[in-house]
Amino acid sequence: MITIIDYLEKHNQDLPKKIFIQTESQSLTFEETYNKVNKLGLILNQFSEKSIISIMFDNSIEFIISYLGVMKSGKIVHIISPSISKKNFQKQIESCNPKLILSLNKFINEFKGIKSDIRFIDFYEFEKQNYSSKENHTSDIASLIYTSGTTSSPKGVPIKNSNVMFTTQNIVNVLGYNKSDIDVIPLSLSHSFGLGCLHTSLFIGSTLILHKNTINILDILNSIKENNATTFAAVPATLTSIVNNFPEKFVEKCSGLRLIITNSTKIPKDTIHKILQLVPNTKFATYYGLTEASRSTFIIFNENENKEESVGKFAPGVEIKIVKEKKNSKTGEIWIKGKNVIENYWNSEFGEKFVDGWLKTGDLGFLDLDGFLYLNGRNDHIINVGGEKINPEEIESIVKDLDSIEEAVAIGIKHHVFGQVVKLLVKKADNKEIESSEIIAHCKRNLERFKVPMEVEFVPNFPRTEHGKVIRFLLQEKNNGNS
Amino acid sequence: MEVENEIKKIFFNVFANLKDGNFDWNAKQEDYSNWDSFAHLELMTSTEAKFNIKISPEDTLSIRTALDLSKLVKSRI
Repeated sequence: MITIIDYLEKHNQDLPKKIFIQTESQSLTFEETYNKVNKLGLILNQFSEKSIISIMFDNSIEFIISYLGVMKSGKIVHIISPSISKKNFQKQIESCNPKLILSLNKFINEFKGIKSDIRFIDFYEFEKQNYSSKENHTSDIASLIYTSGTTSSPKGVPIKNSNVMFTTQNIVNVLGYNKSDIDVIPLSLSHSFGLGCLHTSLFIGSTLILHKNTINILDILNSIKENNATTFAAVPATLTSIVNNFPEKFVEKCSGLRLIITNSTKIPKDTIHKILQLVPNTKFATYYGLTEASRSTFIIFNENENKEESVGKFAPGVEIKIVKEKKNSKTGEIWIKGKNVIENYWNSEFGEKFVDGWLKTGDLGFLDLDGFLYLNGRNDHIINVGGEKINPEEIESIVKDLDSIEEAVAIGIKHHVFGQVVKLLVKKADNKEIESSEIIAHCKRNLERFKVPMEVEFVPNFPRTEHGKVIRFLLQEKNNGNS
Repeated sequence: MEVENEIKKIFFNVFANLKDGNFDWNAKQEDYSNWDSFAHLELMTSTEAKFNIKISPEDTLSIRTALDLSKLVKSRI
């Protein structure tokens, strides 16, 4: 089985002195990366085959070495974002039971008290350990990433090496990546979008300029120019912020790019037009996919006029169908089949999401006559904050821990930067008082930051069905100016 | 002193793990484990609301420490 790691070995031979990864403070050639990954892999051979090793890093050289090192040793790499809430951290660890968590002391100090039997270890301490001569076979499953579930439990997404290879080859072929590319990414490597970019650079032998985050947009734009970058990958919120606030800088720094790629969170039409107008010689592309079915469609906007609202055509080898509840309706649930789709969730949970190899995505959409896919919301109540999917029940259950609250409903409201943010509607318990600041503070202590409500509104009651169930879509419409 | 106290309060509010003992005016974004884009936006909007000022996108990007934010506010009021 050929895996993405084999390409590191290949480039170690073909391009040993070429820079593979560059951060603000460090750079590594393919040879240096290979040596570090190999060393870590040998140390990790002390664990049995198919063991799970968790890694918790921000965007850094340590992330990449650990991620590739675990794969090199044939183990399953479980990726934990350092911004995870303590509750979700505990749930994920209980679900996958890793042998150890590789991290850095600054993150370890925040999480180490949560569960006494977790073995946390600092990356630099671990690197000092002795090698094991034991050889292990490559695991079918390369990595494990948890996403928001439609219940309050997160879903573990086991991604096979074959999924990674299939998707990476599609990215390279459709978007024309080549080894002379210099790829700037300020995307979190803990997510599928960022990881896909890492796999692409590794596969093709290009150089990856890695930024920690998108807070300092001007640094990123300068980095594009200074490094003679050819591709830039960013979420729609980042691109919107750049073209709205710094259009001249965008032209000055990004005109030399051959490609800008974003993902399928709703991209404002205005942002697409501005990008195409400001840097007309740069291809601007997006894709649609989930962690469970990465890069299922692609579109290059420059080559497809009047398709700005579409997320593109099916990726090569990927099938998509729209399953409609009513025969005459235009929209239905998007089902995906292909080698980019996982076979099941971790521990075979959520089996109802798969039918004959098709993944039921929960996303709603339709196809036009030219075969372009359009997204049209969800068939559940998942909120999408800048690409981060949130189950509202998770927020509601945290908030209901407060005595003064009888009921709470979280909904998504429109936001100019993030697409959506969370608004919380709260019914206070009888004779109890609570301030919105107390609710927000409680959320901050118990939820990831992007899940914390941006707004809290106290309501006397909620609209309900005759069975007493809250009618969420009414709240959603009312709070988004649709009624 | 008043500005400093309010900025400190904003930081304590945005970063739930901060307290007097571990707060450092010169600590940079990368020294925090949880200073991400969402936290940054919250720092800026909270500061704008507290001091009734408008922070431009350029100024937003120049804030890398609590001290930077404090200096910016002092230059505006």
